[in-house]
Amino acid sequence: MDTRQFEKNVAAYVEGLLDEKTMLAMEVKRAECAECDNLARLHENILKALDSTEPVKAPPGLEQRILAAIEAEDAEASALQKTRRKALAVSLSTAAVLLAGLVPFLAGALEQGAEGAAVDAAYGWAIAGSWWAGVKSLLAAAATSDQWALVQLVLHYLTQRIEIANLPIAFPGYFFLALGPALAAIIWVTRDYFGNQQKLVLSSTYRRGLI
Amino acid sequence: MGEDIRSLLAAYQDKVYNQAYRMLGNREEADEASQDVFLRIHRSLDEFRGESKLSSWIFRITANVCISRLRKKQLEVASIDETLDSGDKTVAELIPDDQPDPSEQYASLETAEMIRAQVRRLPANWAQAISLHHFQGMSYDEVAEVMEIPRATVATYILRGRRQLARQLTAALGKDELSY
Repeated sequence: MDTRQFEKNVAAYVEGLLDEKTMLAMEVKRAECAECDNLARLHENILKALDSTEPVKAPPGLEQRILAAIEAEDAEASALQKTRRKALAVSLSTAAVLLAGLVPFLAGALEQGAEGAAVDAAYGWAIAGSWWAGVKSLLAAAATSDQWALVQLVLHYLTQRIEIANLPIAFPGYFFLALGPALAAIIWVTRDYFGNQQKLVLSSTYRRGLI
Repeated sequence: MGEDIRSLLAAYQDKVYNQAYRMLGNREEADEASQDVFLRIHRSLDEFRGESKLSSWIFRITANVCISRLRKKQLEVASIDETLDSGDKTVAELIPDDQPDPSEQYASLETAEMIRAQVRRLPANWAQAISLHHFQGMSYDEVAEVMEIPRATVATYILRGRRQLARQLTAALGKDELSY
């Protein structure tokens, strides 16, 4: 065995991991080579230093700091979920309201052609709660009609039963007026359900480190 | 906050901190890394499916956090509270006698610290394997489970790591007397 081989095996030798024959060859080489003996002693010392390493204890207060960090993260995640839950409820409410606003438009479009649909759309948007669009449409109507005619128009809309497309059902205008807020209220009341569904998605996304 | 994380903290905080300290080399870093580790554990505890031992999973997270910190910060090898001050030491001084002289015992402790500091200069995988085997007292099989590598590779990392450690120590001492 030459010095290079000795060096190659020395780490395993000092830990007693070599087979009996190689161990013996290492012992012989070590006995006859001062440099090898020196190297083996260095390795023994390294092994001893590594194995005698006392475990370091966590400093006092680390547990509290970790718990506080976890609590802060939970609070942050919870706030994020609440915000997203609200955003979801608002977006769904808006979508529902806009959809409700579209119903009279679609009904009008199918029954009265484009011109009638435009007027119904104005009602639709106003009723749906898209205030700016509704107000703009009604102001435009007011500019071309006298006030009484406008009031009559609104009253007519509220009381007139309106068919939904060609379906054999009809609702008065106030139904559509109430439909948007009612849908929004239902969504708001059931927001926790939506929130929980969202929480599942959020939770797994959060855990994957994407948030 | 669940009781799970509290009991895990009670059971593992010392071990996690110890591993982090051995890998990072200073207490402040180890403290922050331990917090990161337990935050990760808290986030993904529900996803732990028991495919490996809980301890292996925790040590793996710890190793990943530490390696990521080392890469990110490019930590200086010589740590803040474990400075490598080899000074004029010789290889002979690195190899203590068996005499229980107090000053020699102190020198021996200093030498041990120096050796541990040198571990962090090794390639990350080698240092991790050595740290888990020697500092955490894990068997090769346990290290293999934590590092998700074959046992033979663990042995290679540890033995090569110790050979490299011997070279580094010799180089740090400025001695050419050992030619490999």
